[in-house]
Amino acid sequence: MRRCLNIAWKDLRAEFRTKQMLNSMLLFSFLIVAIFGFAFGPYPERIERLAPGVLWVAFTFAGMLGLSRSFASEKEQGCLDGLKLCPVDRSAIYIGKAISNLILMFIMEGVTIPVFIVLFDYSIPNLGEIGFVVLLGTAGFVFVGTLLSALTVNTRTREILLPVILFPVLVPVIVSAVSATTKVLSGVLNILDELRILGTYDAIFFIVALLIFEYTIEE
Amino acid sequence: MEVKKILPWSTLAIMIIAICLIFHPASTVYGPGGEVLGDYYRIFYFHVPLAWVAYFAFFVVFISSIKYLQEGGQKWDIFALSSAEIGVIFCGLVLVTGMIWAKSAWGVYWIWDPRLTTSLVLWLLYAAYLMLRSAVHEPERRARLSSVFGVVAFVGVPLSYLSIHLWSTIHPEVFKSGGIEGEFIISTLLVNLVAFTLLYTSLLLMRIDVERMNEKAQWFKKGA
Repeated sequence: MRRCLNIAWKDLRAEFRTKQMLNSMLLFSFLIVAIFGFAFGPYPERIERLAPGVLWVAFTFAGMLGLSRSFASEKEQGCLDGLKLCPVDRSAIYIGKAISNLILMFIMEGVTIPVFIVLFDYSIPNLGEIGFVVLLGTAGFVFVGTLLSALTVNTRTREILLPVILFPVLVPVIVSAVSATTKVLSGVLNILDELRILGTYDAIFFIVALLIFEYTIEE
Repeated sequence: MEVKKILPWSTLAIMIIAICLIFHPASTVYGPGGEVLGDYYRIFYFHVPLAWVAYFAFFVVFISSIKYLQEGGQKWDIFALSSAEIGVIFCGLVLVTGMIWAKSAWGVYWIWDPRLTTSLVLWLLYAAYLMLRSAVHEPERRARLSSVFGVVAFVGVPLSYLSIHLWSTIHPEVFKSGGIEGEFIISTLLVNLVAFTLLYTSLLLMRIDVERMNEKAQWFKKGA
């Protein structure tokens, strides 16, 4: 576990020096919220019906930017070979990468939600429950995304390929997360069904990724 | 060698029998109240076997991918590729026959029902699988990366199959008490299931042959 945290710490330190990825993720999610603002008009009537969709589109699209860079930056500098030479299990690299991606996603989401609240003049009820849904949904997004990001980094058209292969796999997460968010925002707190799907999905993909991650970075 | 000669012909024979059975008057589909439903309901005899073959084809991709990752060997990769291609075609046909049926039964081609949505996602998953394959050129790396995705993408199959239990849906459930009744109808459906499974097997064997010849041709090209 220490080793995973070391890899995550290395990633985050490199990221906070340049803030290249984080800044573009933040700006992009801000742009998405703004574009929805233009598309729906200045004061949409049923904002609580739009909010879940807008938020999750912003999270997944901005998250995609981060994921596509997650392994590409390693590849360009030849760092991936260095990582592979480390005397650690390959799955430790995966967990480390997933942790650093999760933290970047949480920072981005922590900024996007207030921006949304301010721009749409909308006070989010049941913030604790929303946080929990976002946590589980983001975990599923990152567990699959990190694996597929490592997979596409070896292909020539990786920037195009990642969204194409990632979104179909993510559909269960997005559907359940959006539906749970819709329920919570309209005051219904009975979201056990959605949480069960999200939890199962997270567990399955975390285990599958641990088992097959090593094949994605083999040479 | 013998099997490869017999299989296409027996497939053809059973397909003809199956089609005759579908248009036999006794295989008219009855509604829940016992009323006779229109002839367009007979498309269900295609729809169900197609869906079964699509699931099965993706299951073969899943197993071949695991086998490839475990022990290597190009034959597993060829298996996965051939099965995925056939699966995408059959899954696409499931969507098309479903839409034709839905237009008559529900009045619209498409509704965002969980069963329909998950089937569309299934098609997208394996179309993405083929996209991934076309994006990598080195054969060994292509086999390895697509095997990883073949394992990941399989999540769509149980999801699509179980979608009618997970969420509320208006898609009819065939295999349950009160789903389909009548010996003739069930046997027509079973003959169709056998016919389409045989069709899948023959197509798979042919596709594998094509791929092997393709490799041989590549090998000769390199030698020249």
